[in-house]
Amino acid sequence: MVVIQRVVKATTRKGKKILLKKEPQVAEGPKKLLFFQGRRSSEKLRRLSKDLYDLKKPDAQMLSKKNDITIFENATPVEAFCKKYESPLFIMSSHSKKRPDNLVIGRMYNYNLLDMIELHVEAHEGLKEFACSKIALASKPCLVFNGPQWEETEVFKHLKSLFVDIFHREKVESVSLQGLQHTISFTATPEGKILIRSYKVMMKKSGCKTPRVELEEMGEDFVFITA
Amino acid sequence: MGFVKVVKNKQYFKRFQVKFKRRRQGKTDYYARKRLIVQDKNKYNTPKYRLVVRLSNRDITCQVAYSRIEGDKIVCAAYSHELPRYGVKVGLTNYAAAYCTGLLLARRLLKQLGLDNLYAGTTEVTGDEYNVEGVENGPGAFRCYLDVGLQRTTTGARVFAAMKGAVDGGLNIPHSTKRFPGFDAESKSFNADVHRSHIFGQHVADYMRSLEEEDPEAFKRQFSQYIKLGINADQIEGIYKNAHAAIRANPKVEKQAEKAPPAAKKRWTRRKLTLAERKNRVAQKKQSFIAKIQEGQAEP
Repeated sequence: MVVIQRVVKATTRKGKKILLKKEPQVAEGPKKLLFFQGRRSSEKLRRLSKDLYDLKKPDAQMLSKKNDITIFENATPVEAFCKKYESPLFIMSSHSKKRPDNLVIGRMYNYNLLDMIELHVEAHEGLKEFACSKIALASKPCLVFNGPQWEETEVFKHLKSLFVDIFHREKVESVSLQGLQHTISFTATPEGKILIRSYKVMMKKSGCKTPRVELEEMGEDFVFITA
Repeated sequence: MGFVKVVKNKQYFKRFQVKFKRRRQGKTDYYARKRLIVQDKNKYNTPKYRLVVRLSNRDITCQVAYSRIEGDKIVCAAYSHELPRYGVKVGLTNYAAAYCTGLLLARRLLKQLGLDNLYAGTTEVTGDEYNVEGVENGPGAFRCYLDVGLQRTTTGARVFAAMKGAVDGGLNIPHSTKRFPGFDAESKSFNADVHRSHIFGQHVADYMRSLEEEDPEAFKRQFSQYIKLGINADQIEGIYKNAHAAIRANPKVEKQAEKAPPAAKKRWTRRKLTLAERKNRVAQKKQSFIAKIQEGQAEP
């Protein structure tokens, strides 16, 4: 499923530098995430995409137009998008009568499709519904996976690796306590639902050197159901 | 003329991706903003504060801001239109006023954080290079980075006056003396006295003196507000010295009392007619037209 493209040759020095940047590097930066819509999108999905985009800034790109893409039949246009916007991760939101409020999360390897999962969004409460101050831009979150299914079931293992890939930002050697501001908790219920909650980490004064950590819910509530 | 292809056709508009809104308005430089807000890969993920200095035609705005997902938050702000309170009545956008505004912001912020006794900056203004040192047993100095926006960073620019004011007020802002007035580009040396004279408005005073001698008409036009307030060229240094002392004494924000709205609101457009007025107007027009026909002068 290789995307055949005309050989793009640069005529200017600036164009040549841009093309060189798109080549595979020895040390890559953080993975970018691309948001786009399918044939139709619902308001719930639009809000959800916007909230995830806000969390993932500046390593994300959001496309606003609808695209006539049926991803499970033909993924070539998606590969072309990802190659153009240099994002190995994508989230496609689509809404139809038979499959309402669907999100397809996928990733690419060498701009060929590696894997993707379709999730149905049951409920979503956005950032705006929680009236408290939020976190700084582009902070690395702590991910907490609750429930034994994340290790046992194949689908959940796959989903876990996808979620880690999405929220991972750049690789750092050490982290300062002040920089740990964001925690996302993923809970898998026995029915097969995934509950996602987002928290702000507040370090309060405690008697000793390590601060007392308190979590304040600041972010979105998603409830996903695996299709 | 041959066939010309229309570039801006329907397909063009369907696929056109607009730039970010503030880029379209020409207000934000996203290249600089990304590097000011997002911490580097190799550094720890510590939050970053920035000192925002923006100059308009009649005002100087200095703010200390940090960014959150929902938007930037401002910790503290100072404007040069607050300077009349400290004795600087005219010349609110010159180099000296920018220095005063930066100083006001720094003292206000440190007072807000409770660090103003710990970090006093320099009370002796020499224009020389000064970097705040952190106290050993106590909180560190407040560190922020200068955000110039879209202004051109030439030597002697007023944004650096605001930054120098903030540094002398006690904030820790990494900088070099390369862009202060008094830096000689050929010999790469910095003359602190020239900088000091700029901070105290001596360049304005010198211009006042020379213009008064040579061209009194132009002097009256250029320095009309100074003449109105009776400010001489020699008084200028004193004004700014007093302003610095007054700022250090009381940097608190003073809330202005809400102005009562005027009793009769001024109208710029015609008021719309009511239904009765419109009907009346039509009836009157009809009447006058019928009268004209009866006199035999208009066609029915």
